Parts: sequence; C-alpha cells; structure tokens
Amino acid sequence: MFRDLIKKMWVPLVVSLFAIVLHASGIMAGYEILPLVVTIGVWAGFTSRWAQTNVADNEEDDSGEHVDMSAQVHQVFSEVKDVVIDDGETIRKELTRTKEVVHDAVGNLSNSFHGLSSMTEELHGSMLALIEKVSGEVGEDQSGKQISIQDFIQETSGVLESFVNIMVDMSKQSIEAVERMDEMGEQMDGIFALLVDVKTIADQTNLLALNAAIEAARAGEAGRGFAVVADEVRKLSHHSTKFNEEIRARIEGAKSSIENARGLIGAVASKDLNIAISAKGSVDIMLEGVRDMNENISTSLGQVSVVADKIHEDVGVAVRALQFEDIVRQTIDYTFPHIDRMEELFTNCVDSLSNTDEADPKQLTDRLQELRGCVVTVRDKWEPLFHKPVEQASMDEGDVELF
Amino acid sequence: MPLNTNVDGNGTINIDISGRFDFNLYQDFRDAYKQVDNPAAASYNINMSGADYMDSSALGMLLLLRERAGGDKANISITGCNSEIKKIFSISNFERLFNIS
Repeated sequence: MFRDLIKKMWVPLVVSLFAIVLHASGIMAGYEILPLVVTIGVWAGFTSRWAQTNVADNEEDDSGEHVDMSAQVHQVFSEVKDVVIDDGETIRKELTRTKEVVHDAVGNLSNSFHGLSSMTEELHGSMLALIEKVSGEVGEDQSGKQISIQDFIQETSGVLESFVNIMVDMSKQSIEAVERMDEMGEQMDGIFALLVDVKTIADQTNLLALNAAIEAARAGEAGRGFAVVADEVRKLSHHSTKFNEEIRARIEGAKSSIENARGLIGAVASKDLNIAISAKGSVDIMLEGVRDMNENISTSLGQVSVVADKIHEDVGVAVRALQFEDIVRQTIDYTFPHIDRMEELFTNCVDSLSNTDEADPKQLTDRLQELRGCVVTVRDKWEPLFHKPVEQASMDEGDVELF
Repeated sequence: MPLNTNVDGNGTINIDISGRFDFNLYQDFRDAYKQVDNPAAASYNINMSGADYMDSSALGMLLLLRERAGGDKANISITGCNSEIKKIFSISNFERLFNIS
C-alpha cells in the first residue's frame, strides 16, 4: 500500500527534493521563491488529484482501507516535514560554519598579505641602502666627509698626474742646470784661451830676459848690474809659466768635476715614464670598471624597483579580492530568511493537509483555498525581510561596497 | 745620426729624431735651436716618426725649447708619434702645450 503511495507521489517528492537541492546549492540565489512555488503547486495539484482519485476509489474500496491509506499519507507527510525541517537546520548550520571558516581564512590571508606588503617595502629599503653602500654614494669617512670609489680613483688619477708633472718639471730644471753647466764649460774654455795668451807673454818675457842677459854679458863689467835684472825677469817669467800651468790644472779639475755633475744631473733628468703609463692605464681601467658597476647597479635598482612595485600592486589586488568574504557573508545571510520561509510554508501545507479528510471534496477545496491564502500571507510577511545581496558576481567589477 | 736638423726656406727648424729620445741627444737638440740668432722668432717641427722611446729628459728638453721659443707664443709641432709616445704626451698634458699628431 505504502509502495503504491510512493509510486503515486514520486513526482512531487522528486520536485521537492530538487527544490531543496537547488536552494542549498545557491544556484537560484535571488529566485528561491520560484522552486518553492513550483513545489507547492505540484503538491497542491497532486493532492487534489489524489483526493479525487481517492473519492473515485472510495466507491470501490471499503472504508477501512481508506482510513488506513489516509493515515499512511499523513504519516508520510509528517516524515517529509521532519526531513525538510531537519535539512533546513543542517543547511543553516553548514552555512553558518561556512561563513565562519571563510571569515577566519580571509582574516589570516589578509594579515599575511599585509605582512608581505610591509616586508616587501622593508626589503626594498634594505636593497637601496646596500646598493648605496656598495656604490659608495653615501659612504662617509671618520671626518664626516663623503667619499666614494669614484672619488678615490679620481684622486688617484690626480696624484698620478701631479707625480708626472713633478717629474717633468724636475727634468726640465735639470736640463736647465745642464745648460748652465755647459755655459760654465764654455767660460772655462775662454779662460784656457786666455791662459794660452798669458803663456805666450811669459815665453816672450823669458826670451826678452835672455836677450837682455846676452846684451849685458856683451857690455862686460858695465853690464853686470843689468845682467842681475835680466836674470830676475827670467825668473819671473818662469814663475808666471808655472802659475799658468797650475791655473790650467785647477780649471781642468773644475771642468771634469762639472762634467761629472752634468752626468749625474742628466741621470736625474732621465726617468723612465713606462711606470706612469701603466699606472695611468690601471687607473683608466678602474674608472671604467666603476662606471660599469654604477651602470649595472642602476639597472638592477630599476629592476628591483619594478618588481617591488609589481608585488605591491599584486598584494593590493589580492587584498581587494579578499573582500569577497563580505559578499559571501551577505549572500549567506540573505539565504537564511529563504530557508525560514520555505520551512514555514512547507509546515503550513503539511499541517493543513494532515487535518484534511480527503474523502470530503468540499473540505479539500477549502483547504486548498486556505493554502493559497497562506502562500500569499507568508510571501508578503517575508518579502520585506529579503534585501538584495551584493549583486557583484566577480571581484574584478568596480569598487566593493564595504560593510 | 739619431738627430738631424735642417732649416727650410720659411725659417722653420726641422728636427728629425730616431731611436731613443733621451739625455744623450741633449747636446744635439740644444745645438739645433741655438743655431738661429733668435729662437723665439722661429717655428719648429719635430718629426718623431723614427723615435721608439722617450724618457722624462726628452720632455724636459721640449719644455726648455718651448721656453726658449717664446713660451705660450711658441710655435712647435710634434709629428709622427707612435702610440706609446702619444700616451706619454697625454699623461703629461703636453697636448695643451704643443701641436701633437
């Protein structure tokens, strides 16, 4: 008999279950009333048809069987009602739990993203400081004066340049000194020429004294005194020649000393410049290296900056996306009154039909009338409690209204 | 001869240097510009195409020549320098004092 009843009732039962599933899944969010109305309609239609069939059946069946059948129907109604109420409660519980889980998870995610954002900024700052330190842009020595590798190399370059300048100046002055010494040598050559003249005079004096001595001898006794004078003059000329030789020797000594000094000064003037060339080359290479390094650093800095900006932007997008929690919460809250209304309507229907004598067509018609009224009442009662949830379907759309 | 001198019709003193330009050439170099009565009035062309080495005494000699030839008014060209010699002139900032090529 019960199986028979289920056979007859499978259509409204399936429709009811389908409606519950639809509701719970939220597919019809915003239009929950539709499956409800359809379900109630199907139940009402089925009930009235079943009542008529029963009246027709009653003409054939005996009354005992009818009472039994009716009791079973009421029993099934009561069971279905229990299941619906039970399911409604479960849906409420599950939705509340979902709300809490989503709320907690979103809270954690939000904290994580904010942490990530501030850490990214910190990292960016540290990177900048490091880069500045490496490139020496803000390095300070103990006196508080700013120094950098580039300055250091330029300083080195300057030192090298002044070193070369000093060397060249020294060479020039040495050459000048050599020039003076050569002039001194020329002067000494002049003195030698004069000494030759002096020697000629001495020689001539000597010759004259000799002639005087000969003339004195020829004069005999009368020339004796003159012979003494001539001898003294000859002695003087010999002295003169001797002094002349001594002066020549001294000056020659001085000339050779000057020649030695000239050689020494020449050696001072002659310095190999290859060391300066290679030092200059090294400085140039270093400067080039620093320039390359600075270029690389600024390129890296640009890349780091771009990445940091991108992370910041992405974190912003993520935080904005996390506001989906508000939408979910509102959607769930919006669902609760619908469950309540469904339960109330269903309970009213089942209670009303349970108290109906299916054998009495008039009573059935009255009940149906009552039920229609009840549907309208319940709908009107609940309608103001339904407020539209956030209509946004995607997080990409516009600004999120915060609650 | 590592150093040859001639004076052309325009009064330019041409000094050709070959081999090492160092202190050993001092006397010849000095004689080269001493041969004119007024070194400051002459212009000079020093041809270095045969020179392969130069030390600081050569720089000193050139500076002294510049002084004798009128200092800032001196007209001295140095030609035919190889890369090493050019580097030395560059390091010692001689490019500001002489026409070097």
